[in-house]
Amino acid sequence: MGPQDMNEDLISKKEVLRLTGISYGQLYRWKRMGLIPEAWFIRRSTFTGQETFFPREKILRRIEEILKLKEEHSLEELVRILSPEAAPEEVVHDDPTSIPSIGSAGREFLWKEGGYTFAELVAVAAGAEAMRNKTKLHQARLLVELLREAEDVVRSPTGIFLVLAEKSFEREGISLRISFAVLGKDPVRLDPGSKVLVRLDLERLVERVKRELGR
Amino acid sequence: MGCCDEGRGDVPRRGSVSIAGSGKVAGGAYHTVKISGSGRVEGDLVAEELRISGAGKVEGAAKVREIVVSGNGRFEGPVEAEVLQVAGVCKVEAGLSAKEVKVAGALKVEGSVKAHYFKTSGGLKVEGDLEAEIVALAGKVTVNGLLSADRVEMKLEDSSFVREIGGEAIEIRRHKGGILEELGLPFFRRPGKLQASAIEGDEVYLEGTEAKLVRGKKVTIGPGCRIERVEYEESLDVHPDAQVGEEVKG
Repeated sequence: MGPQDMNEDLISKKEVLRLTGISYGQLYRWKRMGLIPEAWFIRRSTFTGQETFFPREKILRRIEEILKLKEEHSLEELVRILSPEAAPEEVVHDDPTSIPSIGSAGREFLWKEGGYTFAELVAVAAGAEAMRNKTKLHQARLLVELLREAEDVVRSPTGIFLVLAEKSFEREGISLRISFAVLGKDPVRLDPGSKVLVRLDLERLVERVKRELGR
Repeated sequence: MGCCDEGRGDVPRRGSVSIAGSGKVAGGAYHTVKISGSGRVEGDLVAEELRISGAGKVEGAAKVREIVVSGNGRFEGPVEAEVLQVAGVCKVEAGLSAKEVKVAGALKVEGSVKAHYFKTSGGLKVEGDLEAEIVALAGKVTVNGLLSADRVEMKLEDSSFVREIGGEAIEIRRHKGGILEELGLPFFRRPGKLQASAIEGDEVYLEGTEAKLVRGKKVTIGPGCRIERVEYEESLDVHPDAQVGEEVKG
């Protein structure tokens, strides 16, 4: 899971339209609805002035999905299926452990009977993922607590990483260990004395939860 | 919650309150808030209806089903409404989201706008993006971000600026002369102008527009345009009274 760097394979808007056969109207409409995330519109200077580019693989896959699903679903339903982060109020889930990313590993992090929003599901999934990476429960819980408060970040997760780390101090025979969770744009820098326990690509996590919800 | 310095004493939750003369209301949830004269809501407001005639100010976020401003309205926080109707002047100092926005007069939004139907005549200034399904604008317009809609209609008066326009059907026309002009009195009106960096749509019709780049399937460059580069797929018409630097098909 490499960080999203400047050299990611990009495709111009014109090329997207040519390859997929969609219209300007559709592209702008889907952008307004949140079906194509704002963060995928990358503005670059070219010899003809400003030009918009997209991450090639992501945009082509998303348009293919939209075209395939729109036969049977309304655009509003598509938002719920493909980008629930764009309409988190639309998602109310009562049984988070039925989502594979959460599963039984996530049971420990549930704090209410039901009515989990999309961002809350992502938070619990982050905790579950940490547990599967053999972190301790109280450490994994830090991730859940951090994400629960960060719905805005879950809405636009591109390039954001979630890091769980610990740092040990040893002085005069007393050893002290602190754990902490950090949410930030890649590269997230920690001081060299700290040890990274888990590093999660938030965008991937969001995409995964989204896919599993859509099933 | 809620009280007023002047007016009708105690207000129960979800009650209604009206200020006549001058006064203030604590933030909170109301059914109807009416300000006639001069008044302000101190804090966030949740209500079914907010009517301002005169001068009114909401000092927090407003989540109101129907907002009607005649006179002068000012919102210091974000506004979320089903209907925002303005006759006069209205300023939103954060973002605006509404199903239907109708303005005769002037509207200034210091954030972005999201709406279904957005219509203004007079003056409009949006610091961020303006996104709606249908946008119909007349008068002097400034949008510092992207103006995106299925259908964009602009009637230009004075000089307007929109950084970028994108959508399905885009139609920019110079304002047809008013009755004085029809009577042969040209008055002191300069022809309307629009400046933009890029305009993209499936069907694009432009008059009086200066742009770096215009892209579309069917493009018509009408009188008074100066376009540096046009990229089109199906057709391009250029009026004799227009200048196009470069024409690219495909």
